Amino acid sequence: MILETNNLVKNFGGVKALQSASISVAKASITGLIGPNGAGKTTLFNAISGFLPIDSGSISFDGYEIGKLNPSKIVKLGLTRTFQTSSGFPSMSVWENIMTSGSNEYLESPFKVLRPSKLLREKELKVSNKVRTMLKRFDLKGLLDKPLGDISIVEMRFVEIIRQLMTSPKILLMDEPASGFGPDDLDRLREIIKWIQDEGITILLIEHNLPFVLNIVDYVYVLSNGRVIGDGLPSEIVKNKAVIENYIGKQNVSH
Amino acid sequence: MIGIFVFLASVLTLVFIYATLATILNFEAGWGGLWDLGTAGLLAVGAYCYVILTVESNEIIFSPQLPVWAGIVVTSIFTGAVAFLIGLPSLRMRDEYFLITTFAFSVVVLQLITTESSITLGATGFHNIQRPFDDYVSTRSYNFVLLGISTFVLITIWLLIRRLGRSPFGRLLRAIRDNEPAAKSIGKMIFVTRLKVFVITGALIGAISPMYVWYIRSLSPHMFHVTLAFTVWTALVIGGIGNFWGPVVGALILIGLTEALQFLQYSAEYAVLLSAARPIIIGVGLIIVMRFRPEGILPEKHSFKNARKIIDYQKQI
Repeated sequence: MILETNNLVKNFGGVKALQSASISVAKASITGLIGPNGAGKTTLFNAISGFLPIDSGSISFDGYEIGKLNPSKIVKLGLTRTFQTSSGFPSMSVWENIMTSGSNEYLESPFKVLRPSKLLREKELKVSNKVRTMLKRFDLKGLLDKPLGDISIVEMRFVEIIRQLMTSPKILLMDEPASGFGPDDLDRLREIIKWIQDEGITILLIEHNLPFVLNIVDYVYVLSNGRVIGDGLPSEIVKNKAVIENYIGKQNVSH
Repeated sequence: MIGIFVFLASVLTLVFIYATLATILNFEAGWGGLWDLGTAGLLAVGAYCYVILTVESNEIIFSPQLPVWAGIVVTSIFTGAVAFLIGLPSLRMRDEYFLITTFAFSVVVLQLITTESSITLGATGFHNIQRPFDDYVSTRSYNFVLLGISTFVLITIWLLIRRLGRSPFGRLLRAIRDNEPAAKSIGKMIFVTRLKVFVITGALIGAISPMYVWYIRSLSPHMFHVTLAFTVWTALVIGGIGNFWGPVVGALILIGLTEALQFLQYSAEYAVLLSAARPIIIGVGLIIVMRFRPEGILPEKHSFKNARKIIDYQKQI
């Protein structure tokens, strides 16, 4: 298991957003996280990625306890996430957006700027080449110099995925990557997700589009009211009684 | 005839001083996203530090009488260190709290300067401050020397800020300003980066503060009223936040316009009236720009294409 959460608890005042949520994600798997609106899926993502301090419980990732670390440390350990509403840095071009995530503290030192060395330029070129390879891989080469504000929502989602991949993660948490996607876009996304898995990166995925998510994942967790109410292989989960009552609904299964 | 040139040189020097301050603020607020109202406070810290270090006076208890260059270097380091101490607690807070903290800092600095008269000479301040090359030119032509100094300083600071703005560091600043959560999600350290920006800002304001002292030729607390920060902000907003030329154009229009009013003074009554018109001009100018061109006369560029080309088309080794 590359990622495990144990009895995570998070309350917002009287609202119990997470009530002892425990999940385990196997290395190099694609794991799904489904559940009704307000089930706590995004809260769980925020807790794992360090964006939200947890009240109690523990999160272990790749042998480290990350429950109390801040986002930037967690990213450096190799865990990164996307957002439900993809945006980025709108005052910059697509290239600059992705370059930013590919640059480390060495490149971003304000003091190296005064006399840019050959080494610095070489390192920047390396990152830039990687940006272009990635855009090519995603069939988005034309976006290179476009301002971020000028690209479509679907393109924005793919650019966000590239941006997060530039941090060289071991695991990628994707928050509803397919929302707003048409059938063709879904095929592209499926192909991209499979490719990311082939690169050896584990994926944890929140998604409302059930046919899409159940088709692609190896294992799935169902969340409701901040609790895991069921987990299993996609073929098992559609037969799970609690899951059907709480989320999928009886009519959907009978078809 | 020469009188007009002397006057013009003096106005232009003031324009360049404000343009330099607005350029530094552009780096800090425009790209760094730090809403700083403490420009006057940092400038006061720098100016007093420089004068105390270099002045020949037996009225104050500490007077090392350093040469000009050493005074500037130490002042820059000291002002940067002060910015570090202010930034440490205040930069963890959100935008508007930082704004209030820096504003408060400005007020506190003025109070300290006024009360600690054993080292600052209080409300009286310093007068007839020694300036570089003072012995070689007449007081009248010294305006041209100052114009030369301020031109040199503006160009140096402008080039430095442009280099910082186009560098990966500048890119990081714009990223954090645009979208903090996204910047965090790619592992960027928000607080540390902001602290760097604020310390650099402090050091730069410290380094240029002697120029302001030479221009006024004396030093007293009223020179650093917090309205100075508003004037710099107004120049930046009118010119265009986030654009390299914005602060220069803004300062030229704003300071040029308000100073040119002095031309029109021919009777005492008019003089009072016109000096009262200054804040009105600033206010109306700001409203017009905000209403019709909120991004300023020169808006921020949405990408630096050249930055990519410089990197991508360098000699492949």
